[in-house]
Amino acid sequence: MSEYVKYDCSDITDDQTLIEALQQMGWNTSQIEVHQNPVTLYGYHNDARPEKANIVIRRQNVGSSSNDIGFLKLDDGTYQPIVSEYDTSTSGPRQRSGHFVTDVKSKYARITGEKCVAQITNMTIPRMQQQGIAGTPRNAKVSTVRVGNQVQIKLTY
Amino acid sequence: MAEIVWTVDLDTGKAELTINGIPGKACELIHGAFSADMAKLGVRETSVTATADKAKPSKYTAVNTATARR
Repeated sequence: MSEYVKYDCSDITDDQTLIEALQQMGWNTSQIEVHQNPVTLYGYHNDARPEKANIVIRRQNVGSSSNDIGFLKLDDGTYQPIVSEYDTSTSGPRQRSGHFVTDVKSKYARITGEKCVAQITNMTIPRMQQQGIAGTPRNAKVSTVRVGNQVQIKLTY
Repeated sequence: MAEIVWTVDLDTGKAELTINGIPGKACELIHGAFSADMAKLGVRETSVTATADKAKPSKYTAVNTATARR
């Protein structure tokens, strides 16, 4: 029986972005359970485990010898990954050995970053200009430059 | 010239706001607008740095991050 390991991922806070990250890793929406109240995770032998989670990928969708993978929503609003030692150390079609949590965090960060860029460009800047606190569309210049994995949005007026 | 720069690191999800040449009070409004929009995405603020008093043009930096404890 594999032990579950809980990770400190204090900055995974948005359930929709987390689901998008899991989808990018290869799971489809029908394989990702979302529960308002945490539900029981099951192990390889179909044994109910004491761990519970709000977002769950059942073991049959992880690997032939896998356990359920879960993300528990904590009181502070962050999601804590709950992954068995087996699934952490085993590579599969959707996870690299030892990298599951790192990969989730990396994809979550990238999706969040792209959402930040869109939010700043499409929401923050126009609203600030409407409020008269950052120039106007007529006298301000907005430029967006991507260099490697960095995006710089510059507003000058 | 007033300059507002947002830098987003797609590797870490970290978004940084730097304001130059804008009086401090306006910086606070811009910072507030930025932080409110980041909060909608579940992105938390980790630090704020202001380097001038409220009446003068200032350099003002706020950092929001999705992965503060990496």
